[in-house]
Amino acid sequence: MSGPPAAEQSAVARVEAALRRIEAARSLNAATTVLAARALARAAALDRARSDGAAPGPLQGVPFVAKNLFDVAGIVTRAGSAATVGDAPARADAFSVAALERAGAVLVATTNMDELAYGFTGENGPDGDTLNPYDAARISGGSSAGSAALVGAGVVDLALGSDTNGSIRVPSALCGAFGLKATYGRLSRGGAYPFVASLDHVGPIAANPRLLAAAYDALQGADPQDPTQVPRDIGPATPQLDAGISGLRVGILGGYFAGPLDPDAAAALAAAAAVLGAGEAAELRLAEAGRAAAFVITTSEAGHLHRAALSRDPEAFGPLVRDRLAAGALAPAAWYLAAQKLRRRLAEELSALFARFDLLLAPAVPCVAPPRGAETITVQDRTLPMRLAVGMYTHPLTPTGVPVGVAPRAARDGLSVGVQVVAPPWHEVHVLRALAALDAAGFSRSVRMEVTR
Amino acid sequence: MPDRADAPPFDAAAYVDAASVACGLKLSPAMRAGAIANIERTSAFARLLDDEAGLAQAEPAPVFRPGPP
Repeated sequence: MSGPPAAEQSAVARVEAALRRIEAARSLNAATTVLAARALARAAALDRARSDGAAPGPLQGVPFVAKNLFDVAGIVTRAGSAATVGDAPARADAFSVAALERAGAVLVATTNMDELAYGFTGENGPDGDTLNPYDAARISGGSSAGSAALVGAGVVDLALGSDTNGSIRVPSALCGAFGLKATYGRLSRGGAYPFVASLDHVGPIAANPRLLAAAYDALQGADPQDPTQVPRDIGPATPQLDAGISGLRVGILGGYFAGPLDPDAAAALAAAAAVLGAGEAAELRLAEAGRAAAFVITTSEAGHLHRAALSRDPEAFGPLVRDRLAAGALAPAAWYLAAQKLRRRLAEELSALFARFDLLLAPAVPCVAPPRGAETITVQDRTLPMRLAVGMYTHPLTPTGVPVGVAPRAARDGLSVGVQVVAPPWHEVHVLRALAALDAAGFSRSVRMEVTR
Repeated sequence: MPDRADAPPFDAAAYVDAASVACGLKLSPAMRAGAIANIERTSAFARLLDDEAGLAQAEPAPVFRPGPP
């Protein structure tokens, strides 16, 4: 990269450069709506305010993209589905979009995703698959596919995603980006298209932990439109990023999380453990059952959400999603209640582990990005259904609602894997300190590609 | 939950046919086949929950709050 440091460039110059990179990266199929006019007008307003003496925001002039399930005023919120194309355009920006823009960032595009956020792969029928930035023949991971791919490709440094079962964490790992799923109820979901009310989270994806923390700081704040949000004081993470991990007890989740892992995923976990001084293993006995609970809750709530639309126009949905939703709409209450009861036990078990540890490490994915279209993957001699297996290590943690970050790690053939950093509820700062420590130690070096700037 | 060891095998096709009527969800032949495959998969996950002792008596995770504390 040449030219002046980004922070010294005008917002207009940064946005123009981002728009050029989006065009150069069109083959990734990651951006769905490019918002050039809006972005340039917003950037010009920022530059005018600066020249008039206004103090710059913490994200001044940072171009960002948002998964196309976030409302953007004046355009239809697609949520990756043909079933939404007849919806009215959004009347206002989602809380998260507005929050980042209040901090000085500039929305430049919306991004591709798994249909209705129901998937871990980045496959999408109506909009086409998002391609992995490091190998177009491989999945990007999903469902925040385009957001992670554009950050991993160096097109933008910041993106918004959502995470119900791993939809920030899986694509961040496979595309070489940092990601954060904050505590359930911490960040407003206002203006984000719903998927599974019990499990939906929103969060940032970024090129580095410092930007991830700045975005997390900007995204905090009360939103009366989100009834699941828990009233909390705003706890800025950025001032604490340089504290390192001194005083934090770090363990490694074993048992279910110990494998199967390909050599790259295993090496990433070992490297993270070495940097963070993690030695002792901790077992989450209910992890596999927790994954089952997440699956049952997801299919039941998503099926119920879309039941009327399924009856009205089933062919508007892609076949993969349509059939999952239909099954979910019919699932018995006994399964759903058992899953919600298991969820509480799982959270209690994890909470007990946090009496011994401040942070726990786990793999983010079992392997590098599989080929697009694969039905199965084989990892350590175990053959697994691909569309479920890529999320097998994020899925069990989601029902607990704890904050989880992902740090990417370079893998074979220029690909990427990642590790999850897990903290007790409301301790996002622990996660971000650990991600910063990993980054400072070079854990994620050489993981990012750069589209010509 | 009943003890599945004593229960007959889960007939996903019959279940989907009955439940789709009960829920008023019309299924095309293609959709019916996909729904059966997915309800079978969901059933397999639900069986894992049966292995946890005493779950029927446990509190579910979401606790209804009638208003702010």
